[in-house]
Amino acid sequence: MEKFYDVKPFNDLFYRNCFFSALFPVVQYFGQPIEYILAHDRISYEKNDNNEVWPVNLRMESVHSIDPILHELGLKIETLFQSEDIIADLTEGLEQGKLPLLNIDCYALPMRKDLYRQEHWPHVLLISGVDTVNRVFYVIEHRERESMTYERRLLSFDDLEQAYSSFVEHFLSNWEGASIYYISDTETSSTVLSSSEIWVKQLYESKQKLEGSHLSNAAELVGQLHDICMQEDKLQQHTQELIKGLNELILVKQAEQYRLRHMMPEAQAALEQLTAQLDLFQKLRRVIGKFAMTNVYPHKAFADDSIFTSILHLEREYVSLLFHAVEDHRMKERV
Amino acid sequence: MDPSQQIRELIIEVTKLEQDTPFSPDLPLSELGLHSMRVVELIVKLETAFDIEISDDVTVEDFQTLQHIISLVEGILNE
Repeated sequence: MEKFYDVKPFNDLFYRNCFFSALFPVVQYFGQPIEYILAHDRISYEKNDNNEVWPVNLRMESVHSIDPILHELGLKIETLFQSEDIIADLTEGLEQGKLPLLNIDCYALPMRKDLYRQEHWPHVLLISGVDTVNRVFYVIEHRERESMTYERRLLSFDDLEQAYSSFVEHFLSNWEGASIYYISDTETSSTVLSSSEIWVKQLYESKQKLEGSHLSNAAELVGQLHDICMQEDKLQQHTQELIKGLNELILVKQAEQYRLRHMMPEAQAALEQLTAQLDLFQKLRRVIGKFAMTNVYPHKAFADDSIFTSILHLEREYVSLLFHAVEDHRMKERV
Repeated sequence: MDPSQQIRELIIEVTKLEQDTPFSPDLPLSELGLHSMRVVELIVKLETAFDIEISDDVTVEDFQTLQHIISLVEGILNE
């Protein structure tokens, strides 16, 4: 028996974690907009107590859990905490038109050369088909942790069973949630507002916070980055934490950029500020990364504090221009 | 050695691909696993191999394909 769904990898954006990297292609396969999920997110600088290097971080949090959001899109999410026969359960789900998202451990997954037999790492695989004659699943997966490029691959029954068993053994007892999620289409979408309308509404509700604590927290973070980077010994001490934190921050900023570009294309001026700021964060990561590799302090990049003052200036401009666009959007809706 | 061949070999080295992996000059290098930190590693290797200094202001676009990187390096060499 062969059952294959023509699910396409989604590589435009890395959003939050690998669960969403597996979920987004399914949402698109069922003809629903991923923007509807992004619209529910709030992105803001928040205090990150007890973290010496990152006293503030850029957080992306949904105002609702994913289940009701998918429900509004007409998609059903069913969960199974643990499977006793993973091959049979996945095959049956696929036969019934359900696309499984499966938790596995990369330590026991030979196709993940970056982690196989090296590090236990929980991960979510999207299963898009099965061929019982050749005993393989069709999956959508990336080659390594840092890569954001997902592609179609074949995974043998044996390898999948092994990777799932390892997940159950090493992670499931302390896991928040299930080990398998089945997504299916109920064809009963109940969305009342469009993605843009939802986003504008939640932005408007967050206006005071974004113009207040978000910007003051951003100033604190930029001050901290400045303080570390301008002193060679401090930079040396915190290089890896800075790179890790910048990686996370840049992914959130890229999600913000994607959302703005797709959901409020008229906010061109705000998008330009956000893009310019993202370029500066990427430059900062590159400069610090180069320092980590060469051990040569980047005197030229940190000859003055322009990179830091510009990042903060661009954040203030971005928030201001974003709310101009939000007001325009609301005015048009009223008309 | 031809600079384009040398750059190709450095890309293969940082992406940990097999030596004889073929790729066209316009293939997006993200598909070969050239992610952000590997770009930094590649910059360091390019600077050493060609005895050049690559500006901190280069962007992601400068490293999109082999052709982009060849243009970047040749531009600096011809300055």
